[in-house]
Amino acid sequence: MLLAIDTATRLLSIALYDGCQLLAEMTWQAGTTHSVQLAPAIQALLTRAQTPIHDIAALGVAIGPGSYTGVRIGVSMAKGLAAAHRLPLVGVTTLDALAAAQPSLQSRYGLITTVLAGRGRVIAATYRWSKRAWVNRAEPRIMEWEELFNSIDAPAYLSGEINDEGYRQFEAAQARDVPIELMPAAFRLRRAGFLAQVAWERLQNTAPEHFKADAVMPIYLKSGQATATNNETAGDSPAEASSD
Amino acid sequence: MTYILGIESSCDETAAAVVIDGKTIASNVVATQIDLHAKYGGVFPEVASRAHVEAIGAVVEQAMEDAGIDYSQLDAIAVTRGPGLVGSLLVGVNYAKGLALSTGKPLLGIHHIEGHIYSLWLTQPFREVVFPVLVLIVSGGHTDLILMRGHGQYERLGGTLDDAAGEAFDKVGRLLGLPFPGGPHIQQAAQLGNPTAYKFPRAKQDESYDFSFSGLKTAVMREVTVQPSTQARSKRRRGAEKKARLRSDVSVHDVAASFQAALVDILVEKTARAAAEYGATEILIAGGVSANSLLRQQMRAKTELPVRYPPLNLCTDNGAMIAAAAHMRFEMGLRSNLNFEVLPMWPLTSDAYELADKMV
Repeated sequence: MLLAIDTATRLLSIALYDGCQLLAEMTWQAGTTHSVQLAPAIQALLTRAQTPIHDIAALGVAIGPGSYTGVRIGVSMAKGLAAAHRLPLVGVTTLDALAAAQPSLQSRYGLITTVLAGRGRVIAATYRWSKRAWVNRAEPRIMEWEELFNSIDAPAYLSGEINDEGYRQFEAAQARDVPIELMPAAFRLRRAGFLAQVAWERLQNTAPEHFKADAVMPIYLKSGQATATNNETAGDSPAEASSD
Repeated sequence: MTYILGIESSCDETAAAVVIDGKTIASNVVATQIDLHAKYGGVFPEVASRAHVEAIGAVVEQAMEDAGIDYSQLDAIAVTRGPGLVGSLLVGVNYAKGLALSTGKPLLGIHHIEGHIYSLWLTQPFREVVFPVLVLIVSGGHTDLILMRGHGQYERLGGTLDDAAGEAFDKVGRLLGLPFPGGPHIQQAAQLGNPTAYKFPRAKQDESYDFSFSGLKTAVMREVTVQPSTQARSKRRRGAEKKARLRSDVSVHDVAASFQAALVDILVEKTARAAAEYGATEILIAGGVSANSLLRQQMRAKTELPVRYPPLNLCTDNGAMIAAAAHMRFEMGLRSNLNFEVLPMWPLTSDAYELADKMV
């Protein structure tokens, strides 16, 4: 049994997967209450699926990009869960988990997945359909919504988190015939069930010693190394992508 | 025997320890981030959070391995709930919740300052303490005078009105061009200096048990730095000492010695007076600055009472102190729910734990 955790943005999603079936999944907007809600939610999920905690043999966790604090809550929880029985822990990016959830409706269409970043910006990555799966084409980047739509040069589906500004920019892009289509809301929801499946597949293809919980680290997009720009702001987060 | 795993990540040390019966340290592992923060001259919160999430797994595993026990033998898992840096606290707390969830062990969210106080119970475990005792907490984030009338019973007599004592050490250390953290480096420099070379101001002779170190810090700055031009002065803001330039004719050793003497005088005078007024049976000093040898020496010299302080490795943040405080709370019946929130601000009072869940 694999437990998947995603607390990378304001969304909170957890899922239980047995390698064949998704036994339970809970996904909701938790705002900034992940640290309060996550542990009881995992307990509730296990209870509902009538799964004792010791049935969990592996873990998957969203490692970002997203909110630095949000990601650290999930990764810390996953590491704590993995510790006592040295369970393998698979780190999956939010954008890859989203891509895994998208069908390919038209073969010539590519895919752009998004998560919301701080200061009204968006983190996006592009994928192309190859051998029955979405393959990452370009590394995730933080940008303004306008820049995202201006950079589209080939037909693509957009899936993932979007805010009001993103939706305005999407409509404006459509109006000027940018070849972009928005996936339905249910597909855009970043569900831990898909993260669980991605993590499970990686575990089947690679020896478990490659998934030591200690080695799993959050992704800190853009500012790979936190730096204090000046001493006056010391104490603020240098988090470019932090959304809280 | 009660085995408690204590996890601490409230500031810039990732730490874990196993303590038996609140008295015997079975293991004590600390991963310090001093090198990471040295270039900022202070603890940089985002850098601290990153380092915690990187280190915590290995630190806890090492603590369990050193103790030679399995997770199934633990009686409880304790973690610092606050006060501290929110991003740092979140790492330890969520890790501890995951561990508690997977092992089914009771979870206890512990007050960081209470941990510092109970580090004193790890040092002379076979001596009974007769209450009331007076506690001086001195660290980079805290300076508090607390009267303890019993286990878990705290009356705050006073505290700093501005900088914490350790913070004052850091700021003056930075001013003198000494590495972070300021405390140990100033102490070292002071050994070669004359503590009476400069007459820095002591505490106001008032009735309160509050401390103030900003006047002292400003006096040091005025004494040893190049005076800024009027224009520059008008732009001066908080943290001006970071940009101040040291005068070339000052002796760093003398300034360090004189500053340290003044700061220690301030701490000792009020602590000794409070101990006498409240009839304390002994004085406990804890927190990072309790490692300062002049403070220890002066406190012993200025009072008849027994003075206790932790061994050097327990002065700074560690997991053993959290496990020690947790043992007392465990015996009193504390069990934290899995939904508890971290408390970056959490006053230590007799009803701190009752109020904790209402603060969020």
